[in-house]
Amino acid sequence: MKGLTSVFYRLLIRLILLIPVVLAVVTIGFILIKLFPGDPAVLLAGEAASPQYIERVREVYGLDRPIWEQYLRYLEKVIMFDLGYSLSYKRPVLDVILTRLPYTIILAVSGLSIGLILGLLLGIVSAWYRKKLISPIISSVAFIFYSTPVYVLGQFLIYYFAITYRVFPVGGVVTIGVEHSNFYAYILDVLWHLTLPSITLGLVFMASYVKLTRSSFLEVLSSSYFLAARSMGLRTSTLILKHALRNAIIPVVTLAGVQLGMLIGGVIITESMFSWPGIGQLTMEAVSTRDYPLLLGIFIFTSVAVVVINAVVDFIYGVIDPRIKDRW
Amino acid sequence: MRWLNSLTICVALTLLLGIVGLLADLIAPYDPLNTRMFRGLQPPSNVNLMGTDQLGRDVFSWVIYGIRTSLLVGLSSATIAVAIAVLIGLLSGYRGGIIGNTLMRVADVFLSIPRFMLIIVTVVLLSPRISNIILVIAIFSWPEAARVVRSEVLSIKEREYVMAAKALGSRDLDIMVSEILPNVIPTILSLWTLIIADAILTESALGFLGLSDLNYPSLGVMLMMAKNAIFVGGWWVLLFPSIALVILILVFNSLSDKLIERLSPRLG
Repeated sequence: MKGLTSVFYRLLIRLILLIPVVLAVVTIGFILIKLFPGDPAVLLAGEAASPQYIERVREVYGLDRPIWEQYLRYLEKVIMFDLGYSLSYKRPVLDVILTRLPYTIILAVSGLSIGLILGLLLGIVSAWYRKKLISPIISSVAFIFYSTPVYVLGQFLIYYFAITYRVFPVGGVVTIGVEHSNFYAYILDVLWHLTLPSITLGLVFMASYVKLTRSSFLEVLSSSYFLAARSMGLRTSTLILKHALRNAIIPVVTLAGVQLGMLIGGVIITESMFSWPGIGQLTMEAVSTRDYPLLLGIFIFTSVAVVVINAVVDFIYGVIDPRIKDRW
Repeated sequence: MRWLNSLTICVALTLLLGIVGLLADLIAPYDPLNTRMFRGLQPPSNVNLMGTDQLGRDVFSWVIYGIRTSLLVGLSSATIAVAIAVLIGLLSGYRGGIIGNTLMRVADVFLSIPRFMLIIVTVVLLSPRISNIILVIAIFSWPEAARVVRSEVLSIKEREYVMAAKALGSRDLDIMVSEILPNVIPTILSLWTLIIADAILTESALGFLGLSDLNYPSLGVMLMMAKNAIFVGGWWVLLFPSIALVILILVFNSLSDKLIERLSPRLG
């Protein structure tokens, strides 16, 4: 057993090691500004800005100065959590992002959970009944889902469940024009709206979990400790849940953390498909209004968030399962 | 579905899709970009095999040209990405050194941030011309491949025949090209097809979000049209481009799987 102080010490080191990555993200942001074929002041002010405002931005970011000074000023601003000002919202970029963040978290977490649960379930079934017909069927279905873009899947779900059979709403967070009698009714309404987008996201992620669960479960099934547990005559449910699942789940959960960056891509498309007002839809609004400060701000914010969350999740695995060595 | 599992079928389907892409001008009955508002949202018929979208564009012609665009973007960006990945993977795997290690750090950074977000921002800033889309996808696709190539190189360079070549006094460049590279080729082929599938997916996703070159019909753009069409019964606008897109991605994904199994059994 390692002491608690050593755990905190290791976490601290892990977070310090993130600084170069965060710097790299900011640098990419700066390079993107420099790549912009037009006037960088227009980029940082937004295309609809007045000439006076563009001049002010030019001064604040020192855009008439040498390039290293521009870089340092930009870096300083971002490090002080100043991601610029969104013209289309007439508010600081960070404010706009934070108001949308909860929606994205809800959608991402529920989508990921659905994907994980379905993936684990199907993976276990396909490994346990590996000699039955069901196993190749599950694998093939998972492979097809794996190759299906999220917006194809989502639109078919909308077509069947929202348009043809009207079981679920087409999009949005709550039913427009409905007064909710109490908080409970409000939550139900949100969950009802959340169903289709989170299933869409979940099904896409399910595919990779099925494959991984299956192979890691098969490995456990052929191990000697599992054979020992089996020879003791335990019930099948005990065998699967207590002896196999616990060991087979580790690589699957690790994958869930690693896929966070991929999840963002899926979230952007799912949100814009279902008018779910999170960061993804905000991104597409920023694209269509050419609100460059907002767009760059979202990029830096999500990148840093993903990097930090990945490091923390990775660290937690290391604490839970000492066999996983630090990867950095 | 055992028929999907055969390498021959995958290769045959790939060739078929390639022919469709190459001969798009001969196969497509109409100019896909031609809008005929008075023939908007027609169901499939003898005149329009797969119906028309809201703007009266022929969905069948669009799908045929869309396959061409997908293959164009997929093949060119995957080829560029793999070329970069092989160069960097070989360099950092065989030589290491400051340049090699720095490049791998850069790859790590790219791997840890949300790729699709980065692609969207870059494409918006540079304007969504087809050349930009290809380059941007390529530039953000090499890191993962480079990591794989590097780890292969790291294990191959310890083999006896590489040692022997070294002992005989071969130059590093010769060893890299004639001893190591041929052994990485199965991995490279598999990565290449995997990146093609991924690039096709990314290109159509950009199209779906309205970021595409208007001169190159994208399957994603037709699926964006489907977003509204399905509300007024236009299922054909969704169905046919979807099938084409899923087949494209499925074929290249399974090609990658099969290649790994066939060419280097120890990795499968």
